[in-house]
Amino acid sequence: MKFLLRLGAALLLAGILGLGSAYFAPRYAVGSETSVANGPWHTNLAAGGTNADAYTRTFVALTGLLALNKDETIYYNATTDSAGEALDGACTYRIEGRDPDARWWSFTVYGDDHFLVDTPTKRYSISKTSVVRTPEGTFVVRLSTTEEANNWIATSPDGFQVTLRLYNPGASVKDDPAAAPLPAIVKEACS
Amino acid sequence: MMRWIGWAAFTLALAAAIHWAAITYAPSLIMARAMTAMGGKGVNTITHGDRATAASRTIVKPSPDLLYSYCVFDVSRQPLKITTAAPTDTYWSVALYTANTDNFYTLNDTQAGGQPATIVLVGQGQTVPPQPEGTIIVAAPSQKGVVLFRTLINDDAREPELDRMRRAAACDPLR
Repeated sequence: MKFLLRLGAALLLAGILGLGSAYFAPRYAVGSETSVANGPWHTNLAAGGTNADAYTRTFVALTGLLALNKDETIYYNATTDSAGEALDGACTYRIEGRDPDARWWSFTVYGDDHFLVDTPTKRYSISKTSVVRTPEGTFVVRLSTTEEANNWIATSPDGFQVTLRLYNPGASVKDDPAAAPLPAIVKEACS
Repeated sequence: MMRWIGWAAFTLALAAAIHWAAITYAPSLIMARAMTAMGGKGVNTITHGDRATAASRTIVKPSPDLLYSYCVFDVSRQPLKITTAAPTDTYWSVALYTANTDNFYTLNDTQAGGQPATIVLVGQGQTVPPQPEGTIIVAAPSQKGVVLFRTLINDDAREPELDRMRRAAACDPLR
């Protein structure tokens, strides 16, 4: 009887440790050699590729299934602002900068569950073809729960993340995705 | 004391085995679940999905700026003929994925010269009869997987037009 109890406890503990570590470990594939950080933006260059390791495959399957490989599209994701603080659904942010080097690009806000934020306005994204620029070619995109006319993406008070898609990325991104100029994410105010 | 060390070692070894199995098989299991959800019309036939909204919860991180069409493929019995549409003045692509999530082939509008393309996806151990000139032959690393067509909505006003154009795409067993 004592043996069976110990065996049961060992199996339970092993299950918790094994599955728990498997759940969290891919999220730290960000530290692997194929992962790149560029300010608040992170990408894994092996995503979607045939040379992806098991952790990257699992990470992509959980957070971006059916991603294209890096030659076609580079996906950057941000869960923090440019100051390194976690994006907070109670705060307003602005994404500011210039067009990233790509044939087409978009910023899309997702909830912490990796799905689009449920908002009646359906303002899920801003792209190269929908952003309004200054005469100098710069732009400011606001992220908040309060609707604005232009350059605005709805966030969730429950938390959110931002994905930057670069379709057919240009040479500056492909050659050095860690240093390519990308817009900053700046916190404005919190309620 | 030794008994407890033995139990601890057993528990850790078992945890490591469970960790390895979960990491190794999770992508295929997640993909299999997605393929089941996407294959409602059956395999080797195309489905044209609606534009993504917050209610779209089949695949994580859908782009709200794309129209997705897809086929779940099974080339274990015969090759698959994939015909792309060629929506004009926008980005489009067709991407092929193995059952373990690898994107093993992609063709976009620029590479296709803006013209419709025909791809024959060949399963392991199969041969393909002569095909019309320009047909692209691709070997499938896995017998099952997904073909995903993307059409960029580069202007909301063009959505109905682009939706009509993308419906020229098809997946059919090669006869």
